[in-house]
Amino acid sequence: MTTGTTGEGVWTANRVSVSGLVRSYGTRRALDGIDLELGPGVTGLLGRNGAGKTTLMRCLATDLEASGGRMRVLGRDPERSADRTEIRRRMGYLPQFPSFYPHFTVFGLLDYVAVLKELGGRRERHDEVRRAMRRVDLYDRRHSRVRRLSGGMRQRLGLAAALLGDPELLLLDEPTIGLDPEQRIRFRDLVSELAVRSTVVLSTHQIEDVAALCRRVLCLDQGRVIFDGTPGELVARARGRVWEQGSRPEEGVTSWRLADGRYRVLVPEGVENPDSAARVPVEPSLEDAYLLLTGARSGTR
Amino acid sequence: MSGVPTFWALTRFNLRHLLVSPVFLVVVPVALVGLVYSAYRPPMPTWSDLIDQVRLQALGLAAVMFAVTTFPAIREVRHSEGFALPLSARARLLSLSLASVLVTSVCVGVLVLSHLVANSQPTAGTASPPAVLALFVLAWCGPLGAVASAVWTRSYTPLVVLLLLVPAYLLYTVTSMGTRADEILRRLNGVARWVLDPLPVAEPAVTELGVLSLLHISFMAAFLLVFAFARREGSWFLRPVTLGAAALLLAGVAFVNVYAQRTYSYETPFTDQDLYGAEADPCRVREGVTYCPLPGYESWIDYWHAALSPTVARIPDRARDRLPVVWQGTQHLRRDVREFQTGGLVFPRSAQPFPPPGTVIVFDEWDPEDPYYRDALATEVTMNVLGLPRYWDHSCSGAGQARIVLGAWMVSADERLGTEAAEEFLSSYDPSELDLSLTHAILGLPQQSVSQVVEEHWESLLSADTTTEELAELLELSVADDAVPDPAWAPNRWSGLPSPYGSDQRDPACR
Repeated sequence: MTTGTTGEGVWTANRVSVSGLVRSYGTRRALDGIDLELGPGVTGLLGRNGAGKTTLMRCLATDLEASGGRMRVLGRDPERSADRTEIRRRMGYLPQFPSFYPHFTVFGLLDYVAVLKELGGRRERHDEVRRAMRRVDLYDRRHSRVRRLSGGMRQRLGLAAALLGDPELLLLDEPTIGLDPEQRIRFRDLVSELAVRSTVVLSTHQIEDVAALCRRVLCLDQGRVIFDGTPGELVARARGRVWEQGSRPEEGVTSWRLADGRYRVLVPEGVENPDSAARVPVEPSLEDAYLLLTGARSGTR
Repeated sequence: MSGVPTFWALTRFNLRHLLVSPVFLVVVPVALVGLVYSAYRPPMPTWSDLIDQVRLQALGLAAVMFAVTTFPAIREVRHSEGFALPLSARARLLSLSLASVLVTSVCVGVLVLSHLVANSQPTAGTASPPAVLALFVLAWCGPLGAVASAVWTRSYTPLVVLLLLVPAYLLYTVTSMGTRADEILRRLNGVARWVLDPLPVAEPAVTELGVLSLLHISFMAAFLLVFAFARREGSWFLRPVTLGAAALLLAGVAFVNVYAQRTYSYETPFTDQDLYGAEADPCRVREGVTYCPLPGYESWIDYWHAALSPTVARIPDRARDRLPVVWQGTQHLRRDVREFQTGGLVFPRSAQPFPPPGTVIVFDEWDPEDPYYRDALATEVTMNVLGLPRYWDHSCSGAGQARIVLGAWMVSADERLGTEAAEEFLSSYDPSELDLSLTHAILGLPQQSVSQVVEEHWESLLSADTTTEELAELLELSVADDAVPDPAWAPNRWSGLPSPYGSDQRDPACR
């Protein structure tokens, strides 16, 4: 057992331990030497498209073999077949694009997953399935065929499948896509509740979800961790670099037009503020900080 | 919890879902009812008929279960991959295959039972256990084929192709009759039969044939399963190994096929030791007649004896030792008896006691309501008793011989056969007009008076030298008497054929 600090708290009992993790597709390295330790709580995984988030999630979920490095998930080695099976029993995984058999009912599909997750006898299993349906607000649709569900309902169905059996490790890849605001709030509430006992990894482009849920943020870029800390630490790095001004800024900074016609300007580290007199410094959001982190590296405007 | 209970839990889940799937609920009952309703039911059913029927039905069931299993198979290969579940994809496919095979087996069992229950008579004969098991495995090829095709194509295309091909084939079968396409279809059928059934001989009671049949179809089923798993094998080493195993199983199918085609033919004989359920001494005696049925046909002795007993009752007691042994045989079974009877070679494979000189063969078909079978048996026994050569072996003329008239009287003892049997008998021995007239007269006499004469003069009446006139005298019938009617009562029997008694050229006299 190891411990770590985030600045906002201490997490114990590491459930994921990764060192030098490499995953290649041909000559391209999707993961290029990842090191991380994860304990209970919600960890947000941020990064642009192709940064390696989904590959990392699939490796952690034992769905994808690593090309190199060392990994321990829930104390087990995913390269060993018996360990891999044990990990899968104790883990919940919502893939980025879950594919559901359209002819199943909601109950049937969850029962199928519950059988495969080895959730006890029939009665206990069905109780657990009902509980999962209630948690994602799908109980009323339990007899509906999957093909009749909306995109958001399917997303909740995938979440329910991942939640079955109270997993110790919950890997959620883009879980809030298609959820309406009400469902997103409910989702956040649910994940927060789960994170008391479980390790939750949330891969997302929804910065608000990370801001609302995560005690720790990992930013990936080109298969490497470029930031590992709390959301507060990430935001702190952006202080003094976020401005609002009336005119379109010059090249070399990240900016966008606001609803009131002003421009929000993110000035990367190392770039001089050309016209600080015309600008008003503002408190950065997590999104600003993330954009500064990734934009600075790629040199966007 | 280990993986094994999960496997069984998933198998139970698959079973339940197969049974409540709309495809199963609609198609399988309809198919079963259709197959059961359209089945041929012979008046005296045999296991041989049953196996033939169920083989066809199992083929239909295989097609239906292919459709039923395709859907969950697609679920496994297309929709259950990304969730990183504890049970491996192979185990999940194996579980589905097992569940489908179990459901299919129950359906085949229902088909077999439907024959046993719906048949009007107990099913006679035997079928070796491997031959029966082969029917089940044949039907398994449907769901296993569905799994294999789903794994390799990841689509419903094979099912769509099947759904289009089956009606097209049936339609084509009807519309192509008498055309060149008929020949193409015939060849296609031949290929399908070659693939599904390697045996040119249909004798389910023969254990070695049953074993071959089972081996062949088991290789086929195992091939489908291993071929499906080969697709799931991601390892660069294991995948070629699995594909190699599948190729070996396919080679096994071809080997058994070629072996069976080369080893067996329509002429292949089998001994009693080759038969499942054979007894050391299969023969039973009823009122002096010895019957030797094939295994499982013991109940047919009643029918054979019912056909023979009126004729036997007209034979004097002291002549009962002339009664032949009634053996049951087919083209392949008891062929040694048949070969002996026709003067051919006795097969050295035979370990049976040498059959007695007088033998009569009955086959594995019988209909107590059809006079043909009773007539044929009574006629052949009568020929043996009277020492008349079997007309289909040695064509000869019995014209003027008292024994052919006596034979006609004996075979007509069965009231249900009556004079037609007498005519039929006489027609085989080129009778004279006097023979016909006297036969008709005798049939009009009280049985007791004829029996008394036969009892007293049996030995002399058996002689080929005893004439029809002498028999008439013994019966105190005058051939010139008006009591002998015009023999025209029987000409329709020979209409269309060269008149046996109007010609100057007769066969040599029967001896």
